[in-house]
Amino acid sequence: MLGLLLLALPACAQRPVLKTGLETEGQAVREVFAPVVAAARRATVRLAPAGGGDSVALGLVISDTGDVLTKASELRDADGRPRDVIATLADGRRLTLAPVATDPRSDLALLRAEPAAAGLFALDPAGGATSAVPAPGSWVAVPGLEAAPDAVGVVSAGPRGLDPVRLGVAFFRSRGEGDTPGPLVVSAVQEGMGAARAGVEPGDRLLRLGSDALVEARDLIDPLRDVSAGDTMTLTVERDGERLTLEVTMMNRPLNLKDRSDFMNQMGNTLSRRRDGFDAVFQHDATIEPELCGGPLVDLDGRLIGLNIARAGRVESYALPVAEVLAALERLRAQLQHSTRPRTDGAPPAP
Amino acid sequence: MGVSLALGAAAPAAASPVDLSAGAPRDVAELREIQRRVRAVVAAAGPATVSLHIPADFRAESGASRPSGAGSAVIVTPEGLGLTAAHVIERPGREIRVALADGTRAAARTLGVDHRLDVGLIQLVRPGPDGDGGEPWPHASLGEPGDVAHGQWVVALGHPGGFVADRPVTARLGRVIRLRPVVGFQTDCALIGGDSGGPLFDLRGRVVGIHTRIGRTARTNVSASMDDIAAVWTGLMEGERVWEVFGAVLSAHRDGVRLHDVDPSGPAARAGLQAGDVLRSLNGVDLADPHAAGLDLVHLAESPAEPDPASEDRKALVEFWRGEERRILEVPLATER
Repeated sequence: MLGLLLLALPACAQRPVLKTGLETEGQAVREVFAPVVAAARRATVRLAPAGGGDSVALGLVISDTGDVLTKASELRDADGRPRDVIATLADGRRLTLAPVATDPRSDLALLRAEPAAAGLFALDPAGGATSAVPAPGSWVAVPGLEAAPDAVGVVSAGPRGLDPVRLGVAFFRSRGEGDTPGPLVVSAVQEGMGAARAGVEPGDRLLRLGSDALVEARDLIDPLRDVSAGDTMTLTVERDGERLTLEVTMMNRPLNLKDRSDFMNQMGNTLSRRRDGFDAVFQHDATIEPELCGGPLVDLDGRLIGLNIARAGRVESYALPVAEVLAALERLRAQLQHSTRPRTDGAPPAP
Repeated sequence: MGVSLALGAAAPAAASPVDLSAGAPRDVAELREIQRRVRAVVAAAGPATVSLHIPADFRAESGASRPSGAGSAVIVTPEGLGLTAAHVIERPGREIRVALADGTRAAARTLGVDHRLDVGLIQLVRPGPDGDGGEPWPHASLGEPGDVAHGQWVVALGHPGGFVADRPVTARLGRVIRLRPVVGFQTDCALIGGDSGGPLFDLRGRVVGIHTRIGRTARTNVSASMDDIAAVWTGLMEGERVWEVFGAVLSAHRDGVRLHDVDPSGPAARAGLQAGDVLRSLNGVDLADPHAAGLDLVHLAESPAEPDPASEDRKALVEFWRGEERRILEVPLATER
């Protein structure tokens, strides 16, 4: 005879919970956004390394021949070189894309289909919302390859700049002879940052960054705008009369796990490797893991409002506004004009 | 910023005839209505959401210092009364600093705290010779008890990670996931440290909760509810202090969690613990983080007693260091609210 099985449930399990799928980013809610992302989805690609492996980023198709924009730093292999990727489209088609230009300032890369494709659905950023980022509280949607967007959320804060990469030194201008300005001298080295790891010490006189002489504070700050986290630069210093050349790896502000807010940013999250050093980004709360960065972000009218560029923390997803994307595209296309990379279809390099 | 100061009476929008469903939004038109209201809440209530800077705090009793920290708060009257979390301000009678969304700075005094609910009140003070006189503060209105329901859309405002110069306030949207998992209710707004003490609004722009705890996953966080806050309001206004369930303030320590301050009539003191004691483990589990340890103790006080669930006593077996000595004590926890 079958008896009833009595389960002793802890008290908290009996409290009702909102049904699965109805959370803010649950399936049932995201499905309502399907008409919103219907167009942008056709111009969205998922990118995976050509040699195999899981997808590393999303991308935006910007020309019918297969020019694609994505987040550059996710494309690099273990040696830091940009690599070819396989792009999967919403209709299942696949293309091979090769990186043809990289813009470290925005962390965007321009990829080109090889061989060139034809008749692809493209979203030209110039047709996007170039004037203003939507007001905080406006819906945003992250199109993926499915009918429902991969993520939804709201604009959390308007555009602002984020700190660039740093060496990790504090320095001052010493006095030279006869009260003329002397060399820049290190006063402190920040633990865990590139300079400390390279062996820079307080008291070191800063002579050169790369091949350029360091005369004023700007000489240590301006060149870093075009440098990305993970890049290395040579720093020449003088210590006790001796010249030393040190290889410094550039970093964003490191996460300090002893700092409670940094610890929480790491909880249950992986973060994008390059997540600051942007001229202007706006923040939203759609949950985008690093592999969902690089693709379009649309508003409730389905209009392009930006390109997702970083997962920077538990509450921080960042997107480049369309104006920044267009500025980066100009720089990327200018690079191509100086490029000698041949196209596989024999045509001369396009501007 | 061109913000209207008389926000108490002005709800962000006249109540719409559209009935927002507790299930999935019906269609894009409903999404648009949600968006209209969320934008309005952020615009109207943003200026009332402030960042708190709490100075480092040395306590002679424990011989130790808690480092400075940041939290958020919401101004709820034109006279500058602010609602925040108890764990942000810790106790009555402290002087703290406030940054408003437009960057202006002010000072505040802490009033009452209730660590069981994790809510507290502060009184903002205008800089200058007038002190408390002068212009009304930007403020938000409080929701009624019972305003919160499953699936309800809520807007979280705050200053995550502390105040940032060109970021007036940060807005997140979520839904109410569960009522009363421990104390308060749970939403899936994305929150982080620095947000603690900040406000949760309904789509009419009324405060329905205060952010108190973040969960293990990015989208499960707890807020104190207006029902609970309303019940202890008078005590908070009068500067009362209701201690944590353990009867002690916990702070970080290299070897575990330190008792920073102890309620002389609370469970920790009655069991024989003192300020300065460093707790190593709780019921055999090592303690590392004071915030997590506090939650563990609350959980212990709320869950069925071991080994006998029918028993009234919840006990915590605490391993701790006093100076050089290692000791073990059984602490009966207070369970009545």
